[in-house]
Amino acid sequence: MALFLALLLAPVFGYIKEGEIFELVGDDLDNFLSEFKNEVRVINLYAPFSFECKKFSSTYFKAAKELAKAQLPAKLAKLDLTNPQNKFAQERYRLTGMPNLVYYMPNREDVNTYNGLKTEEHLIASIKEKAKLVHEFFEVEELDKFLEKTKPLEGMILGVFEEFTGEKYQLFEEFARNNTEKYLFGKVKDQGEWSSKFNLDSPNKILILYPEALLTPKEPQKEVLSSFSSVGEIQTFVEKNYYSQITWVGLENLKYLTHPKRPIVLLLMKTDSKSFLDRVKKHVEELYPAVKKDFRKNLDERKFLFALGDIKEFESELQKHELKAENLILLIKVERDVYVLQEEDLVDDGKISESQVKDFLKKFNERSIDPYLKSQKPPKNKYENGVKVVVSQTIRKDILKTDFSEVLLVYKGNS
Amino acid sequence: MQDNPDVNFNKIEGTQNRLPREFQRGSLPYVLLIPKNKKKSPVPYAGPITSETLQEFVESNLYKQDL
Repeated sequence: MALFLALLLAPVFGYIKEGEIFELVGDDLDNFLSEFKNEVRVINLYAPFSFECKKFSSTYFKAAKELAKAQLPAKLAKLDLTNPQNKFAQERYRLTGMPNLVYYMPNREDVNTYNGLKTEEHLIASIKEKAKLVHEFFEVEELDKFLEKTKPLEGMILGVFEEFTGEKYQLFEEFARNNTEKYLFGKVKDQGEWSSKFNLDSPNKILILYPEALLTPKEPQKEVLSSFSSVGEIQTFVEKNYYSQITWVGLENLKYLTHPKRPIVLLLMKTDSKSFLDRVKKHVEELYPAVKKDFRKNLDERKFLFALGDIKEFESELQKHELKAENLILLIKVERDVYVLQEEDLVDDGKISESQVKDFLKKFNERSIDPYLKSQKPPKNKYENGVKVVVSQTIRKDILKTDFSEVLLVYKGNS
Repeated sequence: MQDNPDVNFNKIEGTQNRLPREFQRGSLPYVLLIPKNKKKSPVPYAGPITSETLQEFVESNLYKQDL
């Protein structure tokens, strides 16, 4: 998802892409390096005629696919050294053999050679390890742009430090190192500009910055942890606050929501249009009045967690329940069950209906709705030869809630 | 048997409708008896589906229940 967004929103030069791999020709190399300078950038320098290169390129392709799924700040590219337009690269990298894999660490311009084993497994592990570092930002605008364009739907845990040394900084680094898969991290060296941006009286603090697109009215844009003396304290702060807003989730990070047993109210929406960030904002605004009662409570006392996600990404999850949805759907997910408010009931006059959502949540709380089951429409004629025709939607009323014993024939087709 | 006031007869198309977990059995068709007082514990019927055998099944099960 993050990658998809990055492609959608970042100023993309005219790269050719093969799967997740950028194919670089001529000026592409420098554009690629500068455009993704916040990330780990890996380049496979190859020659198409070489057998070794061919063999490695399929490994590389698979690794890129796998890494894209992990949504790490890493970009993989390849560069054909036999292309005359790439001649300069031979001199730049002073190659000794092929294929040659080089990489750049985030925000660094010095090149490194990958010396590890060229197997998919080792490659993935090594790149993951490198990408686990925290993004460093040098300018306020740089951070703003990053949050707005590259990761518009993710919150960020930002360390604001006087120096990247000292006990507090070490604690932050340690926490970040162990949690890069769960959260997005950034760090900045503060000489006044950052503490003034964030209204801090002094540096050496950890902030949670909430994504602007998902901010609900009256919720703070950030939370600050001012004093901490252990990793555990950072952890508690993050767990308490990171998902306290409406969050954007993917299939993968759904499991990181802090209260796994708490029902998750999940609004899934289509994301394949340029104006989709505006629609996210619109839906958050529409959803908020219906959920604010629960939302204003302390996180511990809330009945629900609220999240938005990409309908495409959750397709497999929807299929598990034999659910079809194209544009919009509201689900309550509780362990293996889902409770569903379909688009035709959810949307009224082009907007998410406050009363429908409220009613849905209320019924869920009262246990008066059932988990979603695929169902035919209730038939016009309820009886055929004295036998009642039941569909899943009406099972509760027709079978479970009657004062009679019921015999149920489950058949196939027209029998 | 359809005159039996304590038992209703129902049918549901099993490929177009997903049943609650406790009502799911193997291959279609099948018959379940859902006793009045134990709606979450249906009794599956095994055997040829004819009105006589069904009647026997329903009566014997309901009779057991009433004991």
